[in-house]
Amino acid sequence: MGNVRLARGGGWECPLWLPGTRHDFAHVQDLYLPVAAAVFAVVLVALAFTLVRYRARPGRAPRPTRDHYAVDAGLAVVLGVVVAVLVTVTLRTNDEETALARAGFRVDAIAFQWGWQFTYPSRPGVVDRSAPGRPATLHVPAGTTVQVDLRTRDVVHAFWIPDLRFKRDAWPHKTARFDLRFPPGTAAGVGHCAQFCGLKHSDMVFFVDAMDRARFATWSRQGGRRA
Amino acid sequence: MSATITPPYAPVRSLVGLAVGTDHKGVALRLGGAAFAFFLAGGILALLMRAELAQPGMQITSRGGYDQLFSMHGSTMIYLFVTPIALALGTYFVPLQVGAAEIAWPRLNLLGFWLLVLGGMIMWSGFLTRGGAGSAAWTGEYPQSAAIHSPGAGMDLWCAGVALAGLAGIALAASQIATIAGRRAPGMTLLRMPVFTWSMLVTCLMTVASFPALVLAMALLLADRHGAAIFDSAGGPAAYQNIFWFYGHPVVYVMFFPFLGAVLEVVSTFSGRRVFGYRAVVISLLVFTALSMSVWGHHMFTTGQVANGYFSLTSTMLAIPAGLEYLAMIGTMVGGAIVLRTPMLFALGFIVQFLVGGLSGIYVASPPLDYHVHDSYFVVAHFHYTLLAGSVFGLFAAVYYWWPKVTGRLLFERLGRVHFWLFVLGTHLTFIPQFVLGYEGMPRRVADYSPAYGWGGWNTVSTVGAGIVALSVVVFIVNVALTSIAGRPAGADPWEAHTLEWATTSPPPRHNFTAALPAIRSPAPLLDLREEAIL
Repeated sequence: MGNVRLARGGGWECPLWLPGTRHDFAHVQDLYLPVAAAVFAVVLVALAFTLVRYRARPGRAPRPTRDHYAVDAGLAVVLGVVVAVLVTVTLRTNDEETALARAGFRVDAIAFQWGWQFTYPSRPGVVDRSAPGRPATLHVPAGTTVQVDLRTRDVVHAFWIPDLRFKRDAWPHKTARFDLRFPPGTAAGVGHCAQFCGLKHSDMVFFVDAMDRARFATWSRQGGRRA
Repeated sequence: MSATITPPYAPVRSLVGLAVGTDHKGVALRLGGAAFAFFLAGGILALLMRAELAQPGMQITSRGGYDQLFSMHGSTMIYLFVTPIALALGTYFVPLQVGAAEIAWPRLNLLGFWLLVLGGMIMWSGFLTRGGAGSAAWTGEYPQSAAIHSPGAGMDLWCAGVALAGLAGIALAASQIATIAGRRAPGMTLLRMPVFTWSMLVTCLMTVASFPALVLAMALLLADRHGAAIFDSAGGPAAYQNIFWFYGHPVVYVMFFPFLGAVLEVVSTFSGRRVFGYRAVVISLLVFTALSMSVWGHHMFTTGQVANGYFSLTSTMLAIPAGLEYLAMIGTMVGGAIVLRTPMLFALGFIVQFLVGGLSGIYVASPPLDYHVHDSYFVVAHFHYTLLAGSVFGLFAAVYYWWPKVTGRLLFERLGRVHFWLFVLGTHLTFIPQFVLGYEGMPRRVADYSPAYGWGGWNTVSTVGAGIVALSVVVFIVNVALTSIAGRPAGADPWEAHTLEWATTSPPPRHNFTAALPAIRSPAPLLDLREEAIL
């Protein structure tokens, strides 16, 4: 799958060993996709075989139905085991994904109709804010835990960075706190508002600038001006 | 060529009869006709959306116009098409399948039809108002749906229309439950009811249990929009979502079970066998129904305000009863003599394609996966695979299967095949690209997207697919028109089917049965008769 990128830069060559939302997503998907594919294949093969084998032909009458409730019970047990495995992995991963670690860098994100504002408690005075026709840029250091406090000024919005395989809603009167980890090295990407929020929902995009140590130092020194 | 079908009674053809006739078959036909008209209307909205999205940039509408298109498309399809047409199938066939002369509470049933039509017209009249129709999605989530964010009469009309459609569902479902409870023919025990009737029973139970939440949500939202400040608090928006989704998830199975039941009847008839594992089907339907009332929070994983683990568990557990239903469908075919007539083709389409929707449903029931794909085109593809590729294929299986019973004429087989294959092709072309687009980051409910993303190609494919779906529906309408002119008379039982509706004339007389019913000793009394004749 190609990642979403604007013309501004390359994507993230995300190493899967890096803990973070993208890692958690891949961990669960690597279980779910093969299971889904296997179930689909089994049903398809069974169906195709049945259609060929039991197609009506002259002189062949259908066999009377005999119920085999042991087969039903057996299938229920097998499916129960599959569900237990899926849910166990899901719940464990979900707990890890939503647990908060020690923040290496903090972001205050505010969503509003129709744009974003990012400020940084450790960099007072630095404000990245959308202007008409110019999306805001979220500046973060790569390779460390970025803790986001997400709020909304009006309706429900959602903060989604597709490359990180993660989104979270911004609810009125509430603060959503979550951790993001951007892979080491300099990279750029985009984020969207995923929750329908009115007229310019389509335009509620932001850029992400994940900076390596050197660029992040320059950005900090220059008070948030272009690094 | 053209044979005349003479119904064994004088049908009410007057305007008064159309308005207030209480025969359940007439009500069901009018309800089904109205729902099909809403299907065409909602489909036109979908084509306009797909035209807008085919390429980046705004070509045919404005952002505000697009918001009305997707809001009214979703609302029309869910409140005014799939739900009512599912209940219309039950209104027509439940009394026949249980051997009743009439539906119970026929006036309540009739009221359901009128509430639905009025609700739909009120909802659509929003297009005539200054600000346009409702534009806060089919879910009307607060505070986007509040007066300050979605001003205008169109949104009020939407609330009122949805509330009436919800009441309509309750009325229609109640009379079917009463029919099953009190009007079964002698010998028709609960465990001798055909699977379709069972599927309607659980459907109607979910309807009466969950639709009041919808009516409540709409009433409160309407009051809120006129100054009552009901949801305007810290917990208000989440309260609205909880109430709404308490309706909103069971309704997903209201829009699925009737078609599952119809497909089981079709599979059973065209394999020449009784349903495999009948009691397991009944139990799985009941388990499914019970679980359906406790899965709503899976629509709210990204809100951070529900117990994600619990709702992930209940939602994933649905795979168990669903698996038993699949076993029943395939097990019925094994050992049969399968005849691939059009109803059976659509039934097979349902089985294969719904599986894509079901498996992607298990996928999105996992919060770590849902955090990525929620509110993206991936989810749009997922639920269209369940609703269009699944339920609507099941609906057409039912339509081709029961058309001869209802009209006395068989739909043309060759046109039916063209309809089927075009529909298959169009459906996959439309929705496979949407899985990819959503995974790559395209949010749903956007009127436009940047050309820099490179999404134009997949979106164009999706739009072409939607056009092919529309073409397939045109083929169906042509088939209906030609059939009404020159269709072959069907007789009472053209398919050698199993259930009581085939023991009467096509169409059935005013009080359904003129001759004595055959003995009811199983869910397939007509098959019993044929087997006894052989012995």
